[in-house]
Amino acid sequence: MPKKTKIAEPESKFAAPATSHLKVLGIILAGGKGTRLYPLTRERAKPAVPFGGKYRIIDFVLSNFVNSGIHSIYVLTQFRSQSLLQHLSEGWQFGGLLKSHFITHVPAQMRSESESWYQGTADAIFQNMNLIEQSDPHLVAIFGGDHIYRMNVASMIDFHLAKQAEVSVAAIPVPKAHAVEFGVIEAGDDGRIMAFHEKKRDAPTMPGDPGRVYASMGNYIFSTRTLLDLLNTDAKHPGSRHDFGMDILPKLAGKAPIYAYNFETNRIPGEAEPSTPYWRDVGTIDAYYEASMDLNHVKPDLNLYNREWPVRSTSYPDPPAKFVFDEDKRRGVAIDSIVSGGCIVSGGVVRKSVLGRAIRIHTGALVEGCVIMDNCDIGRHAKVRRAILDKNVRIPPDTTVGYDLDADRARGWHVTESGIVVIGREHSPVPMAAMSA
Amino acid sequence: MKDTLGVLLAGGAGERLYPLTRDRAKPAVTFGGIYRIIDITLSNCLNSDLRRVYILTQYKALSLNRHIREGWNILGREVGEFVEVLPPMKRVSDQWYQGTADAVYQNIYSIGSEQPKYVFILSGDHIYKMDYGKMMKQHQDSAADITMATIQIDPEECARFGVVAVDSDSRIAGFEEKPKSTKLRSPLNPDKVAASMGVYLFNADVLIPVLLKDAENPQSSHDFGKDILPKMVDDYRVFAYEFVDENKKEADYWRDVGTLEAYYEANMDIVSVSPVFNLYDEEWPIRTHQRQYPPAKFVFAETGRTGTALDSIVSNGCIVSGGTVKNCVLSPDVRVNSYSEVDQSILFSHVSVGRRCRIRRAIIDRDVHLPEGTTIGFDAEADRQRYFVTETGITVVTRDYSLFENPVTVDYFTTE
Repeated sequence: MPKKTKIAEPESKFAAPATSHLKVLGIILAGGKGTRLYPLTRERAKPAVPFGGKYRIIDFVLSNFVNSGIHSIYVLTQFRSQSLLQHLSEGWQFGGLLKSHFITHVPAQMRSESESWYQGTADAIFQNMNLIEQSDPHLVAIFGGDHIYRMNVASMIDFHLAKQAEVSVAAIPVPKAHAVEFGVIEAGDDGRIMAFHEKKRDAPTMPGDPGRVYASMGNYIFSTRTLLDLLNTDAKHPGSRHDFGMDILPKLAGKAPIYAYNFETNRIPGEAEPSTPYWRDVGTIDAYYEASMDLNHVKPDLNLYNREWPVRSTSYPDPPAKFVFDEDKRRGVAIDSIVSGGCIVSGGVVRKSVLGRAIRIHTGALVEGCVIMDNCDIGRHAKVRRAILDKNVRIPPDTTVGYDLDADRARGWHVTESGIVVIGREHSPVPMAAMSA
Repeated sequence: MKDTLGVLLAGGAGERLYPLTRDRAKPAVTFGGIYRIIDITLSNCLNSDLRRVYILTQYKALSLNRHIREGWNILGREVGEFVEVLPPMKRVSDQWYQGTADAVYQNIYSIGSEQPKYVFILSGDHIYKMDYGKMMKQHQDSAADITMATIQIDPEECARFGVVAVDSDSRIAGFEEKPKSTKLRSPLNPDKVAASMGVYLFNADVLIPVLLKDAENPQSSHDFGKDILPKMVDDYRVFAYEFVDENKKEADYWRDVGTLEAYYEANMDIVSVSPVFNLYDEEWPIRTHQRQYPPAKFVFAETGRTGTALDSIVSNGCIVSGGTVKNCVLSPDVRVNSYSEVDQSILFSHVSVGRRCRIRRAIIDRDVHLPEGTTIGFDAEADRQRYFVTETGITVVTRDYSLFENPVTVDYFTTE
């Protein structure tokens, strides 16, 4: 019988670092290409992929930071960043009351001597080290922008301080069988990290549970001095791949005070019952689809409706969603679904689907098990099943999608092995004379 | 429009919208789920390129102020554009605003310091889409001193309006303020009569002396429609501008939502299949301030427990969880729980409808939590004991506030 790790009580109801004078700089690595999410990532970086109707993947980590009281945030980008940049400027600019409250997009600037793109996660930070030196924080929280999860970062900071750690690494317990997919952390009973095992089948299990291993979530908290030292040293090392997980942290393991923070102990305000920790990579179309479908459940694993842990996004000026026609053969309804602002479900039926913004579902149309992004139009009597429609896709009347996969493939649509049809985006018209602001 | 100032009158008490105006000014009353009534007129201003707007407030203005600050703080003072709230300043008078003209008169310094050439006097409590630029063009083309927007109404309705005598050149020859009956007819349609919409365009050099003169008149009730305009007809060039509805529907849409019935009907128009007042027109967007909420969610698909909305509009943050909503307007963050039926109703923000409720023809004000098994709209007598019921049988439910009460406790949909 495996011994369960003790679940800590939530430290405080309010999400703020334990010491209020503590300066924490947040840095989000938003360079993920998301190759396996193609064609959703054909024209945007993975953090900019829409999720849950009105969100982008990056909204989750940004919300985690802001809800945790971290208001000084740099977002580092490299690939296909236009879409992400636009989202940040539309949704994540707050009134500049304090100079220390900012969310700033930092494009790759080729600041290295060789004028290269980022070589690895550590190089991305190294090339922007001036940002850290300028703001001179006590701690730097370096988080990935590729994952969907909710995390009270303040608790991880408390842990970091309590352990007097130089580096803390967020770790999620996963079944041993999945060890091969992750960078696995070997830690002592007190959480001290002894070694890293990159994608190994026989990686050591986590303390107190021989059935599971600690997988690194790619989220780090560094004491600033240590971070700068590590980056300077690593930069001089010619053989390094300049990656935190592969090069820098393994060298510290067993030597420096570097600790694994058990994500399972993290508590979100407003959610009384401890639930299994939610952390999704959504790195493949299948994983993305499943995570989307989960949202339609009565009690989804990911609760977007917690008023004490709001997931923020852009505030769009959409009118409310509208449902029209209530006749026997022409009823506009959405069942077990999520419907964003500006949608009009006009005499069509939507089941178990996630609808983005300003979508039209016309009479007789049937949409089942779909993820539909902004501004799509489903024509009369069209039937769409198990499909992901990127933005601005128009399904003509009487078309079927997802019923005959060979035919769907023949039309040039992407069909996964599991039978999910993905229709890539059409270009959105950019309104030039739109209402100001 | 650069040399034009908009003055939006938003100080009315809105007694006939009571109890919705118990805690807020009429222009701040929610409309169409996510909007406030004043958003409609302010959107007209933006869509007409009228970008210098003063909003004159007086009555219970906190909610209105906050909304303007959060939603309309979008123009740049440094480029001479603004939407700005002017509270009563008691600069020229020690009294509250006596009438529409007095409200403008008491702010005459603020208006004068902008040195506008034209001043639009607008009202903050009407639902309509109007391009003020078209009105301005006619005003200039006809070399008018004052132009007043008019809409054609049935002569039987005249008792609720100020009706005007218009000649074939659109010039106004006379006024009748809320007459019991009228012989006046519109030159455009012999079956109709032209009524004032409460939208006036003045040359500033006409407006200011007229206001000063009116302020000195002890007999005046200081109202544009009653006192100012009728006296000007002989001495000034006063014209009527026939309303052009930007909804581009067959019938012109302009509603004074000053009564609970009119307010209710205007909301019900929005949920109809093809509403006259279209919120979804990209050519004429209606702006508002929206707090961030997740998308609306519909759950449970069992027989007798299907979470659905029919012929309704549903704002972000709502969860329709096993209940049925029909012909309704739902503001953000509303919960409708299992086995409940809500029909032809307007639910404001944060309303929660418990299980097995039956609600019909009701307006539920914000933060109201209806306990399991509540019935509203089926027995007017019983409803009158507990709620406010209009003569036409619309029930209005407001939350019982007490002073220093704690904020509403929130319960999550996970309790469902």
